[in-house]
Amino acid sequence: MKWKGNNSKCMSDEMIQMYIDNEIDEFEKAGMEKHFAECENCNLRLYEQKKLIFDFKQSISLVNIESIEIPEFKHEKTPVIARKKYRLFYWKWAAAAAILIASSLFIYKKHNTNIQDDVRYIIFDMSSEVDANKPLHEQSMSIYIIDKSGKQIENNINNL
Amino acid sequence: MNNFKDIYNTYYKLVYRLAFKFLGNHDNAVDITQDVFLHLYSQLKLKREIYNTKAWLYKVTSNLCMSFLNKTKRITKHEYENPAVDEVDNEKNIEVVEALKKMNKRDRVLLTLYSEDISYKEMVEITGIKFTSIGKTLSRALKKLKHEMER
Ligand SMILES: [Zn+2]
Repeated sequence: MKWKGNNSKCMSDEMIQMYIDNEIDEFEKAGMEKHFAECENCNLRLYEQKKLIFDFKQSISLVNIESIEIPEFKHEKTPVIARKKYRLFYWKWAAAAAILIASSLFIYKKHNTNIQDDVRYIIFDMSSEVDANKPLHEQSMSIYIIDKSGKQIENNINNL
Repeated sequence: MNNFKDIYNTYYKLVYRLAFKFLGNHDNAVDITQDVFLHLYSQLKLKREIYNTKAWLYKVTSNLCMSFLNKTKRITKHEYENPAVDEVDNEKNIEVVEALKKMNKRDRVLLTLYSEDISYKEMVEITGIKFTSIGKTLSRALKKLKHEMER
């Protein structure tokens, strides 16, 4: 391990991080503690890094998972049909996408005649992000193809 | 597949929480969590050996979340709503998740895992980053994150 600083004994940022995370061996730890007691500068850096870590962990860990229900496990992909919301705002894009999909599906059908029997719904999900200033081919979009039983059989044909 | 049910019940909430930290969205986190366990289910069905279940789950979750984020690119703020978080906390959470999004993939994954109190050894297993680089990377990434949040 490297010891960097103005004083040859001063701690590198890496060492301080590893010390806080308790990822250094006992021998090194003892040496570091001795130095922290003697060196005001390193002691301050230790305090600051600890605070940085505390603030980060606190602000990202705000989800109370106790209130999250564990759903019953399903062996297939969840049918997406029930949850997708449509916004009127996007109707223009949806219409444009519909034409694109219809034509691409037509080509697909040519290659695979069974698809007609399997496909029940085709869903265009434009809800992720639409930036009206960008051309259509730069829009992020997901397409879901759902079969008769509601299972998702094809998805995420992005950036057509 | 009794084994699977145990794993599912033991780790469901942890996987969900990690996914939520990446995505900031309840519905998407639930979807990814389902995908992660679906993946596990098929691995176990194929009798594939998984040595460290927790690390494996965290790895698959990180990968699925990152590819989901690559696909959806930007997520608008209102999607951060979470039923389990109050409004003030939600604002703070948005701030940190937004700042994380501006960081590179490696730093972002590492910091998110770090917030789950995962050991360096497990981080190596999950991310493939060398053990000797973890401390340095974390230290730098935390400072970068703070800088992003102050902007
Ligand atoms: Zn010092």
